[in-house]
Amino acid sequence: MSNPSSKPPNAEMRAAVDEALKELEKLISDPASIGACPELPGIVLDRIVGRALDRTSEEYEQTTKAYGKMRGEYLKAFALHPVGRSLSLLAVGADGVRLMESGHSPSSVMNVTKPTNQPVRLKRQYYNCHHIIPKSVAVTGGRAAINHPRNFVLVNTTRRGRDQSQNPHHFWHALFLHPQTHRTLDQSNPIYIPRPVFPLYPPITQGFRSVEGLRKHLSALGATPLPEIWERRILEFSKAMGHKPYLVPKQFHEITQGFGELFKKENRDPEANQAVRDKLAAKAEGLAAEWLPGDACINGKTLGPSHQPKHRLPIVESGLTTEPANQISENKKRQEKRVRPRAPTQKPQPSQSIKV
Amino acid sequence: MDLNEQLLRELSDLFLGDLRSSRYYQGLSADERANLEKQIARDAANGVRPLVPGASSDQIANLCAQAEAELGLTLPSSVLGVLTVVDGFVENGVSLYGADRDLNEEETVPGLVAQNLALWSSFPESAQKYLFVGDSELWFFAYEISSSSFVALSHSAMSPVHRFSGIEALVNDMLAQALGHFDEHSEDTKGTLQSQPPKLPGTDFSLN
Repeated sequence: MSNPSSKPPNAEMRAAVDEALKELEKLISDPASIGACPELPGIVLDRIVGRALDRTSEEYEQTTKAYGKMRGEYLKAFALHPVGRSLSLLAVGADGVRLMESGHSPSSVMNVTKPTNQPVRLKRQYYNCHHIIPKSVAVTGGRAAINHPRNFVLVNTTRRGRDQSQNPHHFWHALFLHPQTHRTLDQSNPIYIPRPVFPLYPPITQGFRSVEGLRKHLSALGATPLPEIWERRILEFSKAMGHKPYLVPKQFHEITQGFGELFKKENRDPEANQAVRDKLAAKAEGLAAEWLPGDACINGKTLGPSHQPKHRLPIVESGLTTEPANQISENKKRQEKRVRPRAPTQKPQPSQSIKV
Repeated sequence: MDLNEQLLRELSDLFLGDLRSSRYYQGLSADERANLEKQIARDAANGVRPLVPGASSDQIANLCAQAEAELGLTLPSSVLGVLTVVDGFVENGVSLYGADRDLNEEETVPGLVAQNLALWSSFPESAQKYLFVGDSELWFFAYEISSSSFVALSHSAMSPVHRFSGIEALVNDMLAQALGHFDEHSEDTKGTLQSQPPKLPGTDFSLN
């Protein structure tokens, strides 16, 4: 499955990926906490202290540029790491790992659509790489901490029409990150970052009721067995999901339904338009407050000591805002052009034909 | 400026390669595979770019009606013109939104109306200010309604960091990012808002 046309990842990125996975292993001690909130399984709120950056600042621009240069290298190194590779095969399958090996975001072909009298199109599942602590937040460790594998996660961003159920990254951003970093320039505040305890999210596309079932599946994928800590996390995640694929809860991915009224022609004049935006902002603030503790700051206002969140996610202080041990040098390396994959010459054995 | 047909063909070729090397394709029976190949060949014979087609006139008409009804917007003709050539794509974290499908049809790319409703509801300051046409891991790509221009927006601030000469330049840049076409000149591009697109060979914005 290796891609001979792609250069291997450099040693420093491989070391950084290894560091990231070890940090993730330390993040929670009790895998049972993965199911604390079924709406957000495997997510902890990582309390950091940071300052929202002016997005026209040099720091923000440099962080963005540096990320663009290193992302491909990260994907390659992750697909090469023994644990990273097995976790990748579970989440994005062999097709996705092949793309990661060439430094590209993983996607896998699910099937094709062939409506009558319309062209054939691919239906795929997509995972994109995202920063956990947003690059728009200044932390103690600066760019070295933000642009580091321990601050990256590969998240499903598949969108099917109104259905945002396979787009958890948008859900996290809208629910937690945007309200806490909006209108807070030049202030250092506690920020509660949604941090997955897995490097790919969701980590699985099917349920596993037993460790034997998980091991059998990994073996069929040609993956090396996972260390026990990861097996336990996968099984807890599966249990929290009722052994079904993870979907963003309906109340969040369907909030776009019925918005037509708000954007009708009569709401186009500036005053009515502002009223629409205020209404939307109030809705977003209300939702965020249901999850965040009292010292969280939403749209520039601290919730207050008497605030009690309705939902309780595990809260950790990872300390991952400091400089990482294995830093990534900001060289000129860029993403490589992807070459057209060659079709396998042999049909896979039945035991390898895993639908993802 | 026109859409870069060479990049579109390259994307189509990549998608064909992805399909044929996929587990899905390998799992099809010989008959199913032959049938699928026949349909792809028929699309090509009809002048349709395999797996990266444009939207039909019916799909464009439906999209216009949905945008009027649900976004309260008349879609710019330039956006509609591009969608007739390429009805959205998703590759390497870069997504160009396409015409939304009816509820009984399967979506293969993010729908323009659905994505705008989702983004407007989550980022209220962007509502009816920007018409989002695509996104990447680093940027949103949008039509700025007040200036009738196409911009790249910072993901977290929803503020413009680059202004394109038109939607064709924007889509060409998205294609270049998706396919991994970069040149060293694009290194010089500043992330700050520019009144005029820079005169650079190759891509004019891609920092990714």
